[in-house]
Amino acid sequence: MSDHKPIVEIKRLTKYFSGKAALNAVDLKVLPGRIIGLLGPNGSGKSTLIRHMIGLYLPDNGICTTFGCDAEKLSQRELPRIGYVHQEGELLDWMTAEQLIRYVSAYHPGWNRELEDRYVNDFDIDLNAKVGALSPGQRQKLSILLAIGHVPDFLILDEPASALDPMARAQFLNLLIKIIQQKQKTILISSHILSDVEKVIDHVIIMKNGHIIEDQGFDDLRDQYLRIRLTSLGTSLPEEMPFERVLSCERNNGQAVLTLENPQIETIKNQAESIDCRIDFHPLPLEDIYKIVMSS
Amino acid sequence: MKPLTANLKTLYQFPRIWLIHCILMIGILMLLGPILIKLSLLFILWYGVAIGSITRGLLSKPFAFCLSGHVKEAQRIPLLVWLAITIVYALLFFMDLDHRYVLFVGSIGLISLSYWLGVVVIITKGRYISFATFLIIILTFLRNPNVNKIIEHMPLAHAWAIAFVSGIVSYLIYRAVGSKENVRRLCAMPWLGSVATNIEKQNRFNRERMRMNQNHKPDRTSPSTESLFSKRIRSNQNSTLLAHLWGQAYLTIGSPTNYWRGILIGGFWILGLNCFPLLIPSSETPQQGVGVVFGILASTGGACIFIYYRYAVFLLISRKEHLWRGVVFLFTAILIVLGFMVMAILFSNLISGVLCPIIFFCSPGSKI
Repeated sequence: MSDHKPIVEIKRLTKYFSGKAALNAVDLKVLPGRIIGLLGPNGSGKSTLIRHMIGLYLPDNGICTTFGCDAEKLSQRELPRIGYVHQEGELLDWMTAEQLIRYVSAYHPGWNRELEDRYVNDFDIDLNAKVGALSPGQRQKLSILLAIGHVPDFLILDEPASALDPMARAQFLNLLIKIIQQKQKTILISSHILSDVEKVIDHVIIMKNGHIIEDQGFDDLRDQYLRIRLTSLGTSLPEEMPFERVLSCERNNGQAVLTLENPQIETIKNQAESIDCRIDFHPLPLEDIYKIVMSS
Repeated sequence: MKPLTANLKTLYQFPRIWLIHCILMIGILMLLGPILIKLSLLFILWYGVAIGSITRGLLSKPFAFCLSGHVKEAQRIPLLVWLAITIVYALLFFMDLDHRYVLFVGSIGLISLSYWLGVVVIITKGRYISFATFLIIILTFLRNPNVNKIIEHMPLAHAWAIAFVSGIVSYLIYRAVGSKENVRRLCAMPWLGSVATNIEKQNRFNRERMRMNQNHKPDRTSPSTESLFSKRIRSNQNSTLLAHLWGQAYLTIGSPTNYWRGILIGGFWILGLNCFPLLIPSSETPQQGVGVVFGILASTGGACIFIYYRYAVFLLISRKEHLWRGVVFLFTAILIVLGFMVMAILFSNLISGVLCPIIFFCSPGSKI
């Protein structure tokens, strides 16, 4: 397979549930080596899209191919190349954590015992506890281990960190970064914790009402927006600001914070000078970009 | 709104509760007629279990422990229901003026005993003991074709004795329901109650119970079983279908060995309450017996499909493997259920063989 052949290719994918379109003519390509953040409000179609990629759902219209194979017909040749952390974290509650790890690892000749041992230690997983008796956070950690233990080429994480505490989330991000450092690993993360996601992703997909409304590199998306803080060097700020494409403006005692779309840095600097203001530039966090995209 | 009024809503607000009330009414009507008296008492007993379950649900709400008067009101629910049953039965009974008061007194005694036994099975601490008593009564009851005659005879012959014993037993159970020890024990204890069809809540309930039982030595699949199946899966890694078939066999056999207590109790519960024709001597209801066996196997099949697809996303496998895993699951589960049914029948024969001569002064199946 050539390096640039998409891992997942979706064309005009449509899926209805009870007559309502959960996905509406979605087009998407997941290229190898990308770390993609799949964002969107609840019910926007993220999990449905993911489930089509692994052949769990069948499309009503359109095509979904994964590793060059129709997702519906994915076989044991392609599926072991995928690691999937399921949103609901359904596991086998009656097994102990150790039994479950051994059970899943038995299917994978390439199971990485070293990674498993390190992960169990770092994440403090109680191997002797019944899976059903683990806390939601522990269950999620175990789900992640089961998804990464066989070192898949394509890792799909559907809400992987929602039940983790801040320390565990930080550990999880470190782990992701280590996985990312290995070449050609592709990761798709669906999450609502945007502050975490933005630390690792290089590509963003934002969904709304079954449509993809944004699909581009994270840096490109970030460059589209800018926050500036103006501090008046004179008496007060003028009533009329000279800036264009202002998305929001908050003024307070000789200071103003503006969010701008498609900013031209040099032009903005000149405009700030013209009204006798000092200017500070702040890139927008993903959470704010997300809010802007969703409200536009 | 007063606590009692609020709590009473549980008796009419949910659509499912009306089905339970209907079963009670059928039980009472059957008791008035000449047919199947033992089944009517079983229905009333089952109704007691349902009301006990509601009461337990009310007592298990964490806020209930501190809420002034709430415990007392929750305790009054089974009492009020018992009063309602008595009134309904009395009204229906005295519509026919030929009936004698003494028969009424004896019958009320039997109804009360059945009802409160159902309540106590669910609520009190010694519920394993009460459950065992409950099962023994049901199984003995069902295995003896003369029970109807004995029950018809008892309220007339020993009316006041039955009423007296039943009064004391009912009062003791009523006290036990609202006892401080019982209320403390039930507070915040997970309870499914009437929402057992809600899968999310069911999962939470099961996990909460597992967490609570962590201190006890957990049941787990034996290492030899685990190792046997793991080796089989590993050795068939090249033939993934075979590996998955071994894997599914492991899950189907391994799971019951972990839950054997629950499965044993739950299985007898289901058989005892819902599959009674299977336990009745074959000469009485051969067709019903076959129907019930078929019903149990069909419902096992349905449950298998449901359980299997609930965990379907756990391993990423192709549709072909899913299909064959499903078939293996269904096959092994039906084998287990069949084995269980045979065990249940043998167990009921054994119990009734020992107890029928003591309780009914005759051997099981013999005519008076």
